[in-house]
Amino acid sequence: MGRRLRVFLRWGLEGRLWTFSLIFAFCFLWEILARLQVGSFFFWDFMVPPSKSLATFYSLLTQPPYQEYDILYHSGTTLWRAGVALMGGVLVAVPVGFALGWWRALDAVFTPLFEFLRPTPSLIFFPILILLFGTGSVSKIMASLIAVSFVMVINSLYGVKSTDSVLINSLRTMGASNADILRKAVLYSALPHIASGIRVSIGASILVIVSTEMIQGKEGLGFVIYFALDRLQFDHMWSGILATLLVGAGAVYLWQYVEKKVLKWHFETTARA
Amino acid sequence: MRRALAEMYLTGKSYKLTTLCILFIFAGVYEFASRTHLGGLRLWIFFVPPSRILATFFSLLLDGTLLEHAVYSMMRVGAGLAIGVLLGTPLGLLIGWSRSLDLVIGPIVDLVRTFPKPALFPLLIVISGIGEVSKVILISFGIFFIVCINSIYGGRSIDRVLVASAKVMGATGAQIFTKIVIPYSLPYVSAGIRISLATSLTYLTFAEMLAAERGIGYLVLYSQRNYSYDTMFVGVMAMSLIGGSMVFAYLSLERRFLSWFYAMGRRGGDEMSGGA
Repeated sequence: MGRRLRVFLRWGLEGRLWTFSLIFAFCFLWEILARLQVGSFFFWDFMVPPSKSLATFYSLLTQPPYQEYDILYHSGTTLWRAGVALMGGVLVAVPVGFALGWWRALDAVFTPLFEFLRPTPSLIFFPILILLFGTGSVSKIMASLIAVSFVMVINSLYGVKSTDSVLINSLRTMGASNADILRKAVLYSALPHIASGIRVSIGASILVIVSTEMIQGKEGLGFVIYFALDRLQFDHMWSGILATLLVGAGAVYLWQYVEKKVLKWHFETTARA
Repeated sequence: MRRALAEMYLTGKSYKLTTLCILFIFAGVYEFASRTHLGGLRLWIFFVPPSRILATFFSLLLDGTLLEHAVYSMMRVGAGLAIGVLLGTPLGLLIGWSRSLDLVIGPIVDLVRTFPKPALFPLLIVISGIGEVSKVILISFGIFFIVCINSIYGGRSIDRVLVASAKVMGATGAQIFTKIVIPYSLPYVSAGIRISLATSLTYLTFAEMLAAERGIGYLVLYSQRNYSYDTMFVGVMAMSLIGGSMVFAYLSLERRFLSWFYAMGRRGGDEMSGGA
């Protein structure tokens, strides 16, 4: 193997070229197999060739035939629902997590309850939430909010607990008040944990919203996918799946970018340590 | 009196008592409010008094319906978890160990992890039917990426110098695997499995609510649609009992076998979780 070849291979690794090539090769193989209808004919009815799904996706984006297939509108619905759930969950759960982390008695009394309830999937509460809040957006947002707040309570709790006790004690000996300690020490050691909690919560909230839309509803990406299944229009279904992928991955990657920018000080110090 | 209280405080018993007391007070207030229809009847049609929920729980447990639904749910989760872990762990370790695989396949795993997997369930139904297979595939597919990501972290954490020096001193592949690879990666793999336990229940509930004839998720949605609200709450209770005891059992296993890791003051990657 020549040196040039090795340099080329290395260059492709760093620039994610091989990753993209792999994805492209996979799609290409899929396209060919689907066009030739290798093996069973029915299988390729569901696994629509990617080019066809992409064409449908584009046409649904630019000129949707009717409102049920308006991908842009339904992506927006899913996104705002997930966003409201995320914000609500963070606003409710972070103070609760701080309280549990700060007062040891509260922690000892309530954390076992939280830890026991945490594995309960929030989707199981969805039927109750339909009864309480109706079949519209609110019940879905509440189901997602439950999921988000469990993640955020636990993450901010551990964030507060991870504060260096030497730091707190020395601040206290130097005469700092509790508010000062919270603002100057605890907040900064909790922030990275809260940020990673938000990263997990973004994925969780979109997952719950899409699931509830599929179980019951008339709007959102989950509904689009299920609607297409009912009509056996699999290229439309694949464009719904593609939109879900774009929304989910886009939101998470956007947050990761923001996280790196905002918490630059944290990543720099941990990299050096 | 004060001494007794102080002793309870020091041993931590008072906290457990307080937790129980708070639960009882909550149940009491709930019972009272739902019996007297506090603030209007409308809300309390749904919120059955806890005594009735408990009575229904035991009657359903005794006549075997609850057990049947629970067994079906547990079987699906068990099969999905087993497949997901068995496939995800070796692949993740391999990706984490090899730097070029990490660079090529790592981003793809990361991308698919962010994808809300329930979106694929209608497709799975069409391909493999409404039966058990589509549910098990969904659960194992969802679990696979969590386990895989955590195993990638585990594979990355393996000390390369240690492996190289073991090789120089003539260790066989099996020895390297059991003496170096497993101790280094096990905490990460185990954290992945711990997170997957909760996540698998989310996928299970979703699949059972969308298309099933048995299972706890089906029971809850079905009884909501049939106005039998006590059964609905029994289903919710059963699901949280299953989830809580699964994770609790796993945590005690982890504490037993990974105590050396936690004694080092580290905590296996909770932040990589993908749960809901």
